[in-house]
Amino acid sequence: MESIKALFVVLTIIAFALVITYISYGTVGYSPKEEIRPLGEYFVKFTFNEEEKTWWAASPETITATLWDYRGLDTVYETTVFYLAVIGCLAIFRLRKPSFLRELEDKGGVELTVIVKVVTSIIVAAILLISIDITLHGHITPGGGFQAGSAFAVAPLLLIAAFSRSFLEKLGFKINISHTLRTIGLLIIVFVAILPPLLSGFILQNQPKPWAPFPGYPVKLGPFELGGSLFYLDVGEYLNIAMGFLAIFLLISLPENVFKKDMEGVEGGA
Amino acid sequence: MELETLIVTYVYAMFFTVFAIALYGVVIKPNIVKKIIALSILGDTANTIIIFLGYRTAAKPLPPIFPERIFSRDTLEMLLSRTVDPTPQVLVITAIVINMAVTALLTFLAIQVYRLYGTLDFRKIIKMRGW
Repeated sequence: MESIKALFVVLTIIAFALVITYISYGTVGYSPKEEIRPLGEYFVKFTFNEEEKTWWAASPETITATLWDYRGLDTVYETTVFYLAVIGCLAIFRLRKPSFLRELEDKGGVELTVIVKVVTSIIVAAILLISIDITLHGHITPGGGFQAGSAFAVAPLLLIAAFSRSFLEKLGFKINISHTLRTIGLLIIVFVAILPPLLSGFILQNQPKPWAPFPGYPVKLGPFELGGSLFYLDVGEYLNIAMGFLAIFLLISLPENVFKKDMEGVEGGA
Repeated sequence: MELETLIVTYVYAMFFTVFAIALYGVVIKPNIVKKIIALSILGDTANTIIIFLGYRTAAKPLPPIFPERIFSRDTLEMLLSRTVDPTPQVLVITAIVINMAVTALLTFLAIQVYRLYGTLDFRKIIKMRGW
């Protein structure tokens, strides 16, 4: 009976896959073509086009330019979604009496052997360097705030596994501090977004347009390419994503007895 | 049928098979952690399909990045003839991070459910108080 049920499930899955493939192939009729779609061609054509400066974004990286210039408002909303998701995590795991946390810090934690710790500290240093590099070069080479933040997210996990949670807190990575840095990142994005409307441009404007007299963010600072507003937005996004994941991992590694103690005497639903 | 069409059909079929397996996991599996794993597989498969739509069969495809620091019309034409489509990548890059955040939120909910009810089995939770 059990094997017949399993066979039925497998056959259903295969039938579903074949039907969906047939439908998508028949209606969309898509297979990789030799040409790219006109929208993508438009983005590639104009991001670094110095001859037609009306539509350019001052950055050779089409993806970062599209993310933060051509559809910048959309990305700002998605940043807000991330911000609210982390706030949701903090709200679910909030402690009624934060004094338990301080007791936990004084106690210290169990650490792994010296070999693991040395290797982990080398790897974490490399991850930090690479994530900062990805952020600062996000408008020239592949990368940007989202990618660098996700790359950074592994570092606190490694540190918690090899050292301990209280070690991370002694280094200064506390939930409150990471939350503050995250908010600073979001504030950088908001500031860069609303500066042009104050100077009679439109929201999230990067380069000057004929119908909006805002002079535009600087394209170059000496020998360094800044890509207009893309550089600042990438830094803000990096702070937001990286510190958000740091807060999440610090929270998730709290031992269970802290919550057991905290929930004592609380009726269900509180 | 040409070889290329065959390969593309095969890739599509594989995508949707993984998709169906993930959907099965979300709907049928009673354990909340397994549901979350299946959901993240579902999201990753969708992202991979979108990325696949942006591929291009031109000779030696390039990433959509201007290869030089000084603009010239010839380089632009070379790039336009070889670059892959940037739009799907732009859509996916935010979706991945939002996916991670949503997965983290679901994980936190699952941990909290375990602390409050002592089990992650959905069938047992339904039989408890409040239902």
